[in-house]
Amino acid sequence: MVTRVNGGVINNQVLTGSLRYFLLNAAAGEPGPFEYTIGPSDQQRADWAVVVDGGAGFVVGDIGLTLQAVGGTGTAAEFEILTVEDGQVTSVKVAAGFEGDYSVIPANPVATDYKGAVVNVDWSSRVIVLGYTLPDGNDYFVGVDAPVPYSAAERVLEVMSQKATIVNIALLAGTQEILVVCESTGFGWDVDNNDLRDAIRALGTFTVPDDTNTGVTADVTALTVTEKFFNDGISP
Amino acid sequence: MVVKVRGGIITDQMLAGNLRYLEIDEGAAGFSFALGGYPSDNFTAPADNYEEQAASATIDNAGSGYAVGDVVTVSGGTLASGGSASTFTVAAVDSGGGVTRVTLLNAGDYQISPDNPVPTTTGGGGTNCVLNVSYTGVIAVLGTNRFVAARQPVPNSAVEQVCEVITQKATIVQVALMPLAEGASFQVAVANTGFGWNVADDDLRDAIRALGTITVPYLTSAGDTVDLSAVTVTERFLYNGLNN
Repeated sequence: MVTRVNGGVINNQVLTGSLRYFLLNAAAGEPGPFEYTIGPSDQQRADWAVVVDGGAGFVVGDIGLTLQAVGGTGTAAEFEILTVEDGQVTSVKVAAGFEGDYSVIPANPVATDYKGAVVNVDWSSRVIVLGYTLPDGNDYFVGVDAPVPYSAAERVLEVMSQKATIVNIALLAGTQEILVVCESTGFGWDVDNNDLRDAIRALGTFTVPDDTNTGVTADVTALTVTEKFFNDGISP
Repeated sequence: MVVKVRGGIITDQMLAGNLRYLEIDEGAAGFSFALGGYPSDNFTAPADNYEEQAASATIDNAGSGYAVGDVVTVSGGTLASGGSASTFTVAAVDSGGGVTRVTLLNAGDYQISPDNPVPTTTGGGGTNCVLNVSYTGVIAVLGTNRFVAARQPVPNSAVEQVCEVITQKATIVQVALMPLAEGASFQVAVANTGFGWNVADDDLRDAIRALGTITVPYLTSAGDTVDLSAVTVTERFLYNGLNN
């Protein structure tokens, strides 16, 4: 007789039963369509700056000049002097076209290269949300590590979520793959019969945001869906 | 100004924020006996550690030409080292010699038991008897004369005792018995919400180590001992991907 003795905290549900893992591979070369799924931290730009130390020796004639940020790694941001009072800079703005491009941003407060002025800077990624502009006509930029709207990953996951509840997604080191964790309960795709793969492939090619005003074309027509198993373990 | 435009269905929570993954490593093979029989098709344990035996069978196809007392032998599966196939004795037949009931004669010994329904061969004159066989593992439940069914959780296993500690301050969502180092380690996925351990400060590791040396079910009724006093706990991250 088979005696089925139930364990205490371990049950069949926790034994890889409650979640399912799927690797979506766009089957394209790098960079793949999932490159801009979140605002990258290695492409940061200055968005806003406020003076925290006005320095000394500024004159009205300095208005319109720019202060260059010191520190960080990458192309330095520059700040246009807007107002001067009692020899100090009192307000600046990020100079148009000189937002910088940093792989490592300088920590606030950020020193500048002229007469001791110091500013605090807000940063964003360089990913542009297509089709949207600020009231002043400037582009929308996505925050660092924030989800990029209308990204290829988002479009693909919208398809997947038609018949599944997505719990986690993992952005892998490459930009052509994404790992998706779904609840097992209510999962309606028949992955073995490639219905999920085919539904995603039907998206075809489409334009997704990148760090330009025109975006970039993503192609998911050859995307593959592979189920992974938690009992293969998570990589270190 | 930083403009954070929200994505559609991708949320910060979804970006690896809902779950945390921990790997518990005992260093030896203390986590081997967490399931009866083979834990999964992906598990590659020593053949003599995980074995399955037939426990009973029902008739899937009666066949014809059988007589009471005939012995049928189950086909397929992967035998354990030195193991034999399961056999059943025909206990009752219908008017055409179709088998209506069998009894276990030899439980056999499998590394991987055959998938149901299982064809049989016969030592008598009948043909086409097909069975649905139930298998059990060979791990003994301590303090009883029972064995744990194939792929069922082993009560009071080392994995279970460790998980009981983890659940004091966490909700376990999944447990992965891994094909790594023959039962030296396993992984758990826990809900991030309400996770109360400070893994970086080793409080979970120390709580598990405090279990010391424990007795766990084994192939024999006396069980085996597992030393948890040197266990390590390592946080893993989903965004590194799953092995395969």
